[in-house]
Amino acid sequence: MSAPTGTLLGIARTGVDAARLHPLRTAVTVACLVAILLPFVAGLGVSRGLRDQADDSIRFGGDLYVAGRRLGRDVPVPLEAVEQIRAIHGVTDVVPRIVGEVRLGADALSAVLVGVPGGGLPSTTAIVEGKFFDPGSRGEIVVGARLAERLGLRVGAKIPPFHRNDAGERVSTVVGIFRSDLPIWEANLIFASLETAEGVFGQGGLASSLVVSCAPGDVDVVRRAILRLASLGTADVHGPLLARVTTRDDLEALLSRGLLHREGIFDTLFLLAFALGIPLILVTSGIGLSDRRRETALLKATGWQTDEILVRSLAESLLVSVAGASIAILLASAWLGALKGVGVASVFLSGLDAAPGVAIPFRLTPVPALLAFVLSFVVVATGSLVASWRAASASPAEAMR
Amino acid sequence: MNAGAAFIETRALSRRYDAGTTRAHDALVDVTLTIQRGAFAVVTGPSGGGKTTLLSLVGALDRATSGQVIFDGTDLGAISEAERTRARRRIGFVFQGSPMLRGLAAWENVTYPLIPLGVSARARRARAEELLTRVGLARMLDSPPETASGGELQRIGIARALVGSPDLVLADEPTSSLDRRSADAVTKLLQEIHASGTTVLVATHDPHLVGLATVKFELDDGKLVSRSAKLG
Repeated sequence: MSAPTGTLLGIARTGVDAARLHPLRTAVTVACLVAILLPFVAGLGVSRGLRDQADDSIRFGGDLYVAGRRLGRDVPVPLEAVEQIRAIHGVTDVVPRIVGEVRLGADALSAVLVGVPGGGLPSTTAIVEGKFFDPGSRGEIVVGARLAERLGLRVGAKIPPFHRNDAGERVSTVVGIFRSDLPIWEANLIFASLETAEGVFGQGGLASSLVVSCAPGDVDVVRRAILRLASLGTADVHGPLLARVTTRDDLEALLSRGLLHREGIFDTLFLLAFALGIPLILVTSGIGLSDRRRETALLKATGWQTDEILVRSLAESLLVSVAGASIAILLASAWLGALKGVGVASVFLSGLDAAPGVAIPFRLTPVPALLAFVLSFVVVATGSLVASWRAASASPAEAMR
Repeated sequence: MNAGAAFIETRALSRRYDAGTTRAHDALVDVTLTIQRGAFAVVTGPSGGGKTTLLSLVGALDRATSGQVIFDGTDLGAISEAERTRARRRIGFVFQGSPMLRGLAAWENVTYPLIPLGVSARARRARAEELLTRVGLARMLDSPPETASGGELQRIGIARALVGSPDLVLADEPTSSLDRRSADAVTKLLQEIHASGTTVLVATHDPHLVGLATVKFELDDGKLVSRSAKLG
């Protein structure tokens, strides 16, 4: 190590002294940083975690999603379209599904019923109690653990009046409970056979959409072929039913737009909070200004140059920033892990309670962590450098008086 | 270096505080004096007479309103702030009350001025041990200054003033507020520093220190009212 570098490091090391000699100033500054950075780091962690899960869901889902289109809106697809699409060259599988909202219990809890053929459950869904519904069964449902807990449901429980329609009141039986925290949007799902879902909504022969899997490289060809169909199923009294096809890329783009939009709003709010926090941090880093003045005067009187004092102050800021950012990241991990993201998860996921009660997906990536550290450093360094510069520029005799 | 030339010289030196305000007051007015290399100079006079201001100006801790301070041939008013700091590295200060960096050990306080010079921690500790032994406080090497008595604190301050082997030691009221025994110890140390060839300039009321002076100045109301030199 060259002499000047060694000297610089020696001076920088005295930044530790500066932080240690003023424990109150250091503690208050670190606390302010943590208070400002914690929601930011936690929020971005949730956003990235949700994105990862959503990406996985899209990746392991179908290649194409087909719905009907009438009057500019999506409408259900007749089940006869399943065989019609399956006949298209390049299609390897077509799975119809029914997706609709139901209200449950005395509190009319909102849940989403998904009707799929037997074996059509997402690969991430793991049964923790009971079993899957039997293919083609009627009245058998599988509910998420969180939903089951909230409604007090166990395997074998009946849900009356789960649905009431022209066929009369029917009772559904819980045959299984699945782990409902992976992915997070399965928290309020109920899975049932296509036949059960048809019965619940009282509309037989229809699916909300068709999930189409294609042979590698054939996705675009299949998409164009579906769009060229004269009608999904047989044209009825309203005329032919045109197809609307959503690709995996479309979903990914929608997802990015949605998350980036929320992240953008969150970032804006954070920047506002940070801007409001800057004066606070400037004040806290200036705590003990008279002590700083006297200390600086003593250093100058004993032969320290102004730039050496500023290096010392910069090192102190660096230490305080690293401490603040590190504590914020650790607390964010605890907040999202042990406390399950109380208060912050619902910002990014509509319909989730402020206290979700289920594990929240999160990923603390290096970029937000680095950003948190850089922002802390800039603010703390600005505060302490201004104070140190003023102290170092004053006459030592004046400052020591 | 010219052996015959004055080591410290002030020419019509004045310092006005809060200039341009209603609180403006003259701490020093047209003070002209010379101190030869190797002298034991003492500045006396009543409190508020300008002694501390004179030491601050001679030690490049403050800038004069008018006049000049020539330190070993260099006009301290005509050089940059960085050069003034370099000049201060040739001067050891014993401040009134000996301010310290609280929380650091005595050895760290004594050798803090050596950090920007790139001296290693091991060498600094060895130097502190040598100086604290010299002032009779080797046992306080690792103690924080908060645990020291007033007399011990002043002696740690003297050790710090000597750490850079200065050409000039400035001491502002080094024995005030000390009991006689502690004051005698400090006086003896300053005498030894002078005997080793270092120029010493002390602001004091203490007759024991005044008795050591080879040259004496008296300030009153910022003005130099008398000067005397011990012959021989």
